[in-house]
Amino acid sequence: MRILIVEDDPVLADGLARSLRGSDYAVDAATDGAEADHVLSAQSYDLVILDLGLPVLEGHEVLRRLRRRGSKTPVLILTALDSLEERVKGLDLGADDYLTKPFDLPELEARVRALVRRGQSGGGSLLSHGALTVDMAGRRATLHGKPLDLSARELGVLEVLLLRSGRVVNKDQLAEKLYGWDEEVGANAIEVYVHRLRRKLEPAGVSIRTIRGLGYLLEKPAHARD
Amino acid sequence: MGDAVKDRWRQLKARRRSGATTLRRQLIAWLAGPLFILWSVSTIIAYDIAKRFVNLAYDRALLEAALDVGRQVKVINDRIYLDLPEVALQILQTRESGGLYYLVTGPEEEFVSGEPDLPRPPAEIPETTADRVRYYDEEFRGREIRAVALRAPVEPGTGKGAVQIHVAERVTARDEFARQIMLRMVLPQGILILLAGFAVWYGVGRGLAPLSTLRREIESRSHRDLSALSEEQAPQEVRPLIHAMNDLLARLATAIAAQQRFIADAAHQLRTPIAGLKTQTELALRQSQSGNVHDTLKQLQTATEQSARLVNQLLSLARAEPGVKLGHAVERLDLARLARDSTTEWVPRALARSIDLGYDGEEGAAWIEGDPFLVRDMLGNLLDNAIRYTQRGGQVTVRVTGNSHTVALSVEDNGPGIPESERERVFERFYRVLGTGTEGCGLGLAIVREIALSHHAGVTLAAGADGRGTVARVAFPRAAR
Repeated sequence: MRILIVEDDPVLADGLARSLRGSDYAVDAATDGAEADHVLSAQSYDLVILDLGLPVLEGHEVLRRLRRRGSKTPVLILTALDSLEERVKGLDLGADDYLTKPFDLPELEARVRALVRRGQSGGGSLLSHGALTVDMAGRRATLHGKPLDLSARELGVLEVLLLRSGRVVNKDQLAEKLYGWDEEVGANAIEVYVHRLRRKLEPAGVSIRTIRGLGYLLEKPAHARD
Repeated sequence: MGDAVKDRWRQLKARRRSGATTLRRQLIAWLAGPLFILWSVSTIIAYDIAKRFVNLAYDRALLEAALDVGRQVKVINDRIYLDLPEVALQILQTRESGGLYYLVTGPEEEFVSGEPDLPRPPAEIPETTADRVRYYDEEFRGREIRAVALRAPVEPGTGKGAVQIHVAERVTARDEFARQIMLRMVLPQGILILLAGFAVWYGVGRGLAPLSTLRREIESRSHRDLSALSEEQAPQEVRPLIHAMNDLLARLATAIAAQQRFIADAAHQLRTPIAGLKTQTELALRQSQSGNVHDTLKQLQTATEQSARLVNQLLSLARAEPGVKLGHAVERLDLARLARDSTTEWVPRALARSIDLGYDGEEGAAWIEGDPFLVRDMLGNLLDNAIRYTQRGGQVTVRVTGNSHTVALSVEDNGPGIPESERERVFERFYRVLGTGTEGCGLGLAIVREIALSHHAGVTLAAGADGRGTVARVAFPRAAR
């Protein structure tokens, strides 16, 4: 996994690089827009963390050029500007996520994980969460290496939760995923699937928390907690 | 807050009532003075004219009476006497203008008939040669009188000399008559002046109506509205004033915008170094699991968190304050959806503090007019407060409820609550409730209030359902369909 950090503040860039290296990513850093553009046109990355206020070449421009070259590399924008327009502009240009400075390191790490996974999900990757592993392409789940007996719908729910682990997934998002299997997926049906999943996963210490009125959240694996 | 507004309103009203020079009063004063003097002069002249003509008329009547008396002077046996019949006497005594006094004297000034002590004409009044008549004013029995003296020959052609006939009457009647004539002349003038005064009062009022309209427009404005005043309805004379005012408003807006932009820029600039500091501190904390360094790093992390929060809040405040908006616009938005989305973003932070954060409320849309960014800021600050001040294991619930007029966003926690005496003060900037022991900077609720104000929404703080905790409630006007 290779990540490019484009950030002109040396202290922040160093902090990011060390944090990501700690999570076993290979990290390169660029300090201005032109350098980033140059590096990105020469090499491919699994994720770009891009600051917007860059010297020489603006972050938006770096992103525009990257997308113009047809690259689908996930881009996480990191910026001091947090106006809605900025956010919309960044996402319109093809950014995948947006984080405002100053941020919590665990949150950045969670988003990096999610983006890297998303970038790979098309290629049939494995999602792991503690002792749990889901093979998205093979549509199989294993717990401690042993196959887990899950229905297609339960697996669908689990995939959505895994892709957004540590963040809330609402019932609409789950219903969208399940649409196609069931004619109409009611809130009750989702509750049933979640309930079944919980029963099967809890012995392994994987817990799905209900967030009142909002949805569900797959709690981080025990070993990754602070 | 309500009291402060009321006080200001009272001040404004008092200022308007106190006798500061108004244009209307000045105009009336300037017109009333000269008009009153003119009126007085005209009264004097009118009285003089009236008196002159009344005198002329009365004098003629007096002379007629004297001539009548003269015709009754007879000479019998060389003795002159007056033969006034009783009827004539009565007529003389009971004239409309009051009784007449008469005195007839002979050629040697000897008394013939009438009132012996009736004053004679003073010597200095010359006899008019033509008709031998003299008029004079005198005093008789303590009253002012007007008299005429007439010389009539005793027996024409006999050379026996002439008799003097004096006839006098009191002046009261003439004065009364003159006064009435004067009143009839002066009263309409007075009424005319009064009417002119009213006309000026009304006219000035009408003329100044554009200024009153302007005043009302300015008074009814919120301090956030610095847009130009309308010039269209204003007359030519008022336009320069509006121009000048608009100019000032524009400069004020520019200055405020510059200041806000400065705060926003400063806050933005601070974000990157704080992000660096925060990241490095968190990394360092991971590397040192215990000991003095770890404790120091913990403190450092707290301070960094606080700075980060303060910078964000300064930015929120700069955005929420009146003046030129920093690139946001009001739109029709679904408060229920916004509240759900925003709350969702806060769930990880709540879980990190073992707080059960949830949403409870309308599933359907609740439309309001608002700036989504500011409303999000508002809810963020309310949630930040609720999560920060609620003990671990506590519960925070966001609700969106509505009726036909309002849509209310509320955040309820079961934390320690805010004493009733503090509930108004917590909206002040940098005010913190004592003894809460949490590292807030006291800007959160000030921001909430600013944003509420800019959305014509009301904010209230109350105790929670069972008397514990706090419910912060923001009631927005429901958007028209």
